Amino acid sequence: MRLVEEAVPSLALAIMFVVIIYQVVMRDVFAKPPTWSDELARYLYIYMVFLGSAHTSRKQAHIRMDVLPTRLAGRARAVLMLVLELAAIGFLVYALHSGIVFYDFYRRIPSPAMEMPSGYLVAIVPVACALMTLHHAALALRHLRELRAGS
Amino acid sequence: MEKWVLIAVVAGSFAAGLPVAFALGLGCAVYLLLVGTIDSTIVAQRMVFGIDSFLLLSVPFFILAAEIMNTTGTTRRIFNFAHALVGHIPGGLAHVNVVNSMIFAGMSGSAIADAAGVGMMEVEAMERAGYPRPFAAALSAATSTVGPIIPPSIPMVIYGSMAQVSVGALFLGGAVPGVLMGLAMMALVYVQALRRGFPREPRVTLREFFAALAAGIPPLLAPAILLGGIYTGFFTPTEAAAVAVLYALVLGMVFYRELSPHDLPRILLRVVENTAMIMFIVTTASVFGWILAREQIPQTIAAAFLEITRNPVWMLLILNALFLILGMFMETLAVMLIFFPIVVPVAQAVGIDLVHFGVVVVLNLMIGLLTPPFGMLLFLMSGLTKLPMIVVLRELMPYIVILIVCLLSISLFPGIVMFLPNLAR
Repeated sequence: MRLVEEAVPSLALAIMFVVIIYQVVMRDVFAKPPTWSDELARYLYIYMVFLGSAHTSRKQAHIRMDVLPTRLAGRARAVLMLVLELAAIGFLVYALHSGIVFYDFYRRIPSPAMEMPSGYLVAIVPVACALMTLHHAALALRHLRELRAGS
Repeated sequence: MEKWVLIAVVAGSFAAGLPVAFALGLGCAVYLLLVGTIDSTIVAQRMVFGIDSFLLLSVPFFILAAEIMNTTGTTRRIFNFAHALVGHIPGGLAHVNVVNSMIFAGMSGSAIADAAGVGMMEVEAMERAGYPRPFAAALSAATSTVGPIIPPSIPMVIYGSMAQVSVGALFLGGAVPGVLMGLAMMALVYVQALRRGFPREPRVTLREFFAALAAGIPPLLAPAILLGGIYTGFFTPTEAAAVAVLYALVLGMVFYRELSPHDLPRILLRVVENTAMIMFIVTTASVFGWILAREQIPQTIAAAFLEITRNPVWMLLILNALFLILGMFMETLAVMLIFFPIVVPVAQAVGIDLVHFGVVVVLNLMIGLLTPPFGMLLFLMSGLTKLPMIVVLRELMPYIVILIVCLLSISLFPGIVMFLPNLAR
């Protein structure tokens, strides 16, 4: 899982960099702009963002306003944290479902430049949502255990 | 009815502490379930295609270039150069702090990255020289706000992609206001230095000056390459960002020889983290934006605004007040993604130039990074220096005031912003 969430997006970033430099050189030096480079870089970016978000979920580093959670302590805090994790899971499950339906509907359509089946691109939504659901479920379980231990 | 539920869920869960991205997504999911007639695939579709933009690709590259410069000691060289330049003025190291942030801003596009990258170094240097720690912390927070005003700028890239405005023009538009902010803060430092007896540094010898200059010139060239390349049409803003990375790599590996290939995986992962934190919000915000448009909420609010005034000057002042208040309570990026679709049409309707508006709003939101209860730069610097927020805030107040003066000047005199972009048009 770490491989997918850390190595793959890092590699995607590195390849994006190479592809864009290649694009600049081919266009400005050789006057032969490649047709596929723009699209490839954009798709790699989408992969990077979604898998990187799963990594962010694992590290609990998503941008949030934590005024309320830091003000609370003990049982009240554990209850709030549990509810927040469940809310995150609620959205993620909806997005997972939406992603699967969208994948089914869209997967055979070829992409404009590379003519790659779009399934490879849009599959990232359900994959990333599933990964994030797992992370937040693990967090929810931890808060639940805290609550049990406390009472 | 459903739209009120949407807004209540987003606002409520955000205030309770749900991450911004999930708060937006949850509100949208609840809305779609309530309406019932909209195909659920809209969520996945908007999430993917909301970030499918070549322009937004520049975000990780701007972060990457700054990360590489931080790792390779380029940052330290900039500091030495600033030291040689203004260290001998009364309040020397405080001026160095300002100039250092301005030069660093020419390579980095994020205020938080500036404060995290050079803030602590500045505080430590100033404390060693006898400055009060709270003053040093406050000044480092305040000077970081020029990061996204002097090009490049991540907030301007996001504004440009949302408002369909040329990022090159926005970058040029930020240059003069950024220098103005720096000069205003230096003037304030000068007054405080005389009144409070801050030390000055010994004047450097000519030879030392040239040594620092030679080491400082390569980083100074970075913004010139960026803007020059964009404006001659040699490359797009995103390609410019990639070229900046290449430049930073060459500096670090060949010129300074302080970057080894072993550092790269760690740097790349950190950039992935920082980019994903920003861009994942963009994915769900674009679902949210789609629903807002469907409910015609931007038009409704725009009409309400246009009821108040149709005078562009008053409108800009009203919107400034609105954004200063929003910036106090909300995270910058969340403000941009949620409110830009609503206010950009308003600005356009009363005839405010959208390049001018973009620079004004970004500067406005940078002040929001300093103001409690939710000011990321204030949090960051008081966290790094382990000082209570209120102590830092007391020293920060005059700087917040002077930055608001800068904001008002560029709002009332569009020429300050538009001079360079008009010249290049």
